[in-house]
Amino acid sequence: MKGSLGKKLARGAAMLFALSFLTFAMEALAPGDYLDIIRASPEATPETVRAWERRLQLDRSWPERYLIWLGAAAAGDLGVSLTSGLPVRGLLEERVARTLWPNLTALVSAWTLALALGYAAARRPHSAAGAAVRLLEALLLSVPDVILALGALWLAVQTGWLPTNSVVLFTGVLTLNALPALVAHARSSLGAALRSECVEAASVLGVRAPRLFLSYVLPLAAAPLIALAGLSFGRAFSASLIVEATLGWPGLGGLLMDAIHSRDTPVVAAVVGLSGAMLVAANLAAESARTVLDARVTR
Amino acid sequence: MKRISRAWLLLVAASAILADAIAPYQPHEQFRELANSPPSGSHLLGTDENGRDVLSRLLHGARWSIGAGAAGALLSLGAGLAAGLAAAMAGRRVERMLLWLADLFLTLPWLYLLFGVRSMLPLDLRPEISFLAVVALIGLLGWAAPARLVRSAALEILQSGYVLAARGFGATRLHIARRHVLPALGAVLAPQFFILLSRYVLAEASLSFLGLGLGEPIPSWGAMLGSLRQSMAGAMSWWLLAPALMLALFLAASNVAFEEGNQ
Repeated sequence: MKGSLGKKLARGAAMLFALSFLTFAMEALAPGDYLDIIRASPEATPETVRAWERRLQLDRSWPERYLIWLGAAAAGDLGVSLTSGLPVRGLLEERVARTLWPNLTALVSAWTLALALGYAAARRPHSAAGAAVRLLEALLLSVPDVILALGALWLAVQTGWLPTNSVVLFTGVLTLNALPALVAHARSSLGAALRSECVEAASVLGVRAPRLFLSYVLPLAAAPLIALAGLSFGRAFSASLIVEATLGWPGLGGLLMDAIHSRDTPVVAAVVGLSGAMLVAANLAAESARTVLDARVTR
Repeated sequence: MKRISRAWLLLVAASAILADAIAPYQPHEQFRELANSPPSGSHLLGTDENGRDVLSRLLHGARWSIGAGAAGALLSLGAGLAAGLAAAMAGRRVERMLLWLADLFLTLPWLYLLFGVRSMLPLDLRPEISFLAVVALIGLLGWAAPARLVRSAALEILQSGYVLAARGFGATRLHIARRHVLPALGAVLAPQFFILLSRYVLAEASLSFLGLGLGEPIPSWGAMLGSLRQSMAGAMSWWLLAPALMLALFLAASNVAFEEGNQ
C-alpha cells in the first residue's frame, strides 16, 4: 500500500507540474502582456516600460522564466502581484480561508442532508417521501451553479433578508449546489447496502433503525461514498469560483476574477496552482480513508 | 419524460436555426421608449434595459449558445477520436503516453484551467473571434474523456472477427482504421456528443456570464445573464431571468433525454 501511496503522490506532483506548465506556456504564447497595459498609460516613457520589462523578467525567454518561477514557487515564493505590488502568497493566505471554510461547511451539511434524504428514499423508494426526494434531486440537478447563484442574488436583493455577500447565503448556495449529486449517490449506495443479505439478516434478527443504519448499512456503503467525497470537493471548489464571482464574495474565486481582468499573471498562476494542489490533497485524503476502511482496496 | 425532453430539445434546436424567421424583432433592435418594460402583447417576454426584445434575443441566443456547445463538442470528439485511435492502434509507447496525458487532463481542475487559460487571451475580442476562442478553449481542454472512450471501444472492435479477417487478407493498419474501426465507433460517439453538448453549453454560459466568453452585442444566454449581474445593484426585473430558465430547461431536458448514455 505504501508503494501505491507514493505513486499517488507522484501523480499529484506531476499534475501540479503540468498545470503550472500549461498556464505558463499559454501565457507566454498568447498575444499581449502586462506591458501593454503600462504602455497604454499616458505617462509611460520608453524607460519605464523597459524598467518594468526587466522587473517582470520579460526580456528572458519563457522557458527560462518558467524555471525561475518554478524554483521560487517550490521554495514558497509565489512572486509579487502586478497590480497591487503585494506578495502573492499574502494575498492567497488572506483569501484561502474565506473560500475553504464555507466550502467545507457546505460539504459537511450537504453530505449530512444527502445521507438522511438518501436513506429515507432508499428505505421506502415507493413512498411519498421517496418520490419527493427523487423529485428534489432531479430539480436541483438541472439547476447549474450559475443559475443557483443568480437566483440567490435575486432573492437577496428582492427581499432584503440577507446582504448579498453574507456567509449564510454563500454557504447555502454551495450546499444546494452540491446536494443533488450526493443524494443520487447516497440513494444508490445505501439502496445497494439495504438489499444486501447481511442487512436483511440483521433486520430479521431484530436490529432496529439507528443501529441498523450505523453498524450495518453505512459501513457497507462507505467505500463508494468516500471515493465520491474527494470528487465532490473538487466539484464544490469549481462551483465556488462561479458562486463567488456572482455574489461578490471576496475569496479565491473573486481574486482569480480580478486577476484575470487586470492580467495579473502571477496571481492567476498561483490561484490555478493552489486549486490543483487542494484537489490533489482532497483526493489523496479520500483515497487514504478508503484504504483504511476497506480491506478490499489494499489487495 | 424522455419523449417530452427530446421533443423540447428538437424544438429549441429548430427555433435556434430558424431564429431569423420566427423572432419577432432583430436581436439588436432597440425600442428606447420601451426600455425595461414587462411582458406585453408586442414584446412577449418584455424588453431589457436597452429596450431590446428579450424573446428575440433568447431565440438568437440559442443559436450562439447551442452553436458554441455543439462546435466545442465536435472539436473534443475530433481530438478525442484522433488521440483514442492513435492510442489503440499506434503501438505500446504511444498508448502509454496518451493514456498518461489523458489521466492528467482528467484530474486537472477543469474550470480553473479554463479560466486561467482564458485569462491569457485579450479581454475585448471581436465577437466572431471570441466565439472561436471559446469553442477552441472548451473543445480542446475536453479531449481526454472522449479519447479514453474511443480507445477502449476501438480495442474491442480490433478484437472482432471481421478485423481479424481483414488482417488476414493483409489489410494495412490505416485501412482497418478507416474501413472497420471508424464506422463502428459512431455508436459510441453519438451519445458522447450529447453529453458533451450539455456540459459545454453550460461552460459557455459560465464563461460568458462572468464576462470572459461571448459578450455584447452577442445575445448568448450566458452573456444575457452576465449583463444582468452587472446591473444587479438596482432591482432586477423577473422577465430578464428568461435565459436562466431556458438554460435550466435545456440542461434538464438533455439530462433526461440521454440518461442511459450518462451511466
